[in-house]
Amino acid sequence: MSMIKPKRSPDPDLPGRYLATGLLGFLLFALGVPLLAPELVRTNDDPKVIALTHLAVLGWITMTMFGALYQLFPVALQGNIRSPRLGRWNYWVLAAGVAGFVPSFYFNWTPGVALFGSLTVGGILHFVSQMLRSYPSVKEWHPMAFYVLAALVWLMAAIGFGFAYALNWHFRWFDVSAPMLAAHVHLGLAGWMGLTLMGVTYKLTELFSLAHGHGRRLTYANLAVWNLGLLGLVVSLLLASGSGMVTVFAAVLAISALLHVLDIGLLLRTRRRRRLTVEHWHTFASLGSLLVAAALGVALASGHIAGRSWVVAYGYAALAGWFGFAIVGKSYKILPFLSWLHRFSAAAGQQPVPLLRELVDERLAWSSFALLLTGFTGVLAGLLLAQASLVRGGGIVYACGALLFAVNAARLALPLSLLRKSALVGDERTA
Amino acid sequence: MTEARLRMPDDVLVAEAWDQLGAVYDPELGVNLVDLGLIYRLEVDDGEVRVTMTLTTPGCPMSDSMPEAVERSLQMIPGVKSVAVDLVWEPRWEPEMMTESAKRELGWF
Repeated sequence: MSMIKPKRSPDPDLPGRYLATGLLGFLLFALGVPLLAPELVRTNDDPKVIALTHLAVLGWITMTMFGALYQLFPVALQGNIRSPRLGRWNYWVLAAGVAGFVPSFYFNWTPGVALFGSLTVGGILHFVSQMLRSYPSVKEWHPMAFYVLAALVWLMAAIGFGFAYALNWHFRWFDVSAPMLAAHVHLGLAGWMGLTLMGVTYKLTELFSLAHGHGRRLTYANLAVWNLGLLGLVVSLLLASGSGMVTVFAAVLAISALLHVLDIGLLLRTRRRRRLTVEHWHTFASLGSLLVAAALGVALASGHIAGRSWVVAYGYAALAGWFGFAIVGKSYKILPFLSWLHRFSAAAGQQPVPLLRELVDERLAWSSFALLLTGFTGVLAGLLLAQASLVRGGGIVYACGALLFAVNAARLALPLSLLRKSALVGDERTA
Repeated sequence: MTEARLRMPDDVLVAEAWDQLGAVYDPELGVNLVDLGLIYRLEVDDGEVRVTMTLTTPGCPMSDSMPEAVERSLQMIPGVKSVAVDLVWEPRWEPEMMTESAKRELGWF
């Protein structure tokens, strides 16, 4: 019988600061969509639209993913974060970079784009270095480990392209074509964010749904298909953007997306916790959005689009849909866990402490989900129909959903006495 | 606390320890560790308690806090001199190790 000493989880402040900043980024993005509805419908290369996109990608999704990985890496993969202290310092570099980068885009201040872009790249590169140096300590080689490893490689490529474009925004060394920008976008979207989300989804679905006995052959095979599809797409965009190869590789990625949805469905069929929770429904909405984005991606690649707003619709389906629903849903697990660990774990075993689900207001979570889904559908329809009023209306509903989610997250910091009464009343549990 | 209480027989301590562990809950699943089948072995020798336990998966986020909670709960039993908790991954936990009541709680039936 082998004995393994448990790993120490990082102090909650390390992932917590990234997650809190990500939450702020989410709220700002949600508010930005209705405010920029006319620009979003008109074009995808307006500086304000680019600023909103980078707010979502860097200020919300990447911040959240960094926080989630700092939290999950030691426990899910049983590895040691190389330097939590540097991770804390690096947060300030990244936060300052993003805080300057996004407004610089918004106001089209090119020196700011170059300066704060450099700071942002420095912060991201440090994170990648931190993770790669932590990998040799991994003991649990779950598929998530391979997905995240591939994602880190794509992240370096994405910021390499992005850094060059950010400097070029100011210095104007070369012309940046639409396919070149598309390569950068997909390195970040499908490479970094997509693979990270897929890997984390496998692990958290197993953990929280108590899924056992799911084979991993399809999971690994699809990792290869996705990476080959992405590599082919990026190379085609850069070297043969006028050929049909872009469509072919977009289709490969779409098929891979379908396989991922199928794989998660099969994984969920093995779950031992039968009841579907609000977190599951966020996962379903996320996966549905992934399929919508994949279909739009193939349509864009093959030139079957009705206008520039379809490009925005494609990005919105991926960012607010695929990533957005997944992040919100998984936050209903990750945030209460962090809070529980910080506030209650020291008392577990000695005195009554609440369950994780008792830290979240479930009615608020369902209300938020309904608003997010309705708002998302409205914005997407508005973009496809090029109707700014529909985008604005949907965006307002979506922002209300985001606000309810933020309220639920903020409740975690409340004194226990103010949390839901059911948390402890008449409860004899000790952990 | 009386001297007699402190010199409680080991078999009585074993029974008390199982009772105590039955009140320690997995905060995510809402089921106690005994019903989840996570406690593999519990031995008491002259008031010194040794627990061998596992978690539902090696990547469990509770891999630090659950063994600590077990240790704290057993230390509360009068007569227990020391507690050692060994966290093991072999044999791997299987859902079939749960009791009927845990399966019912998780919606198997």
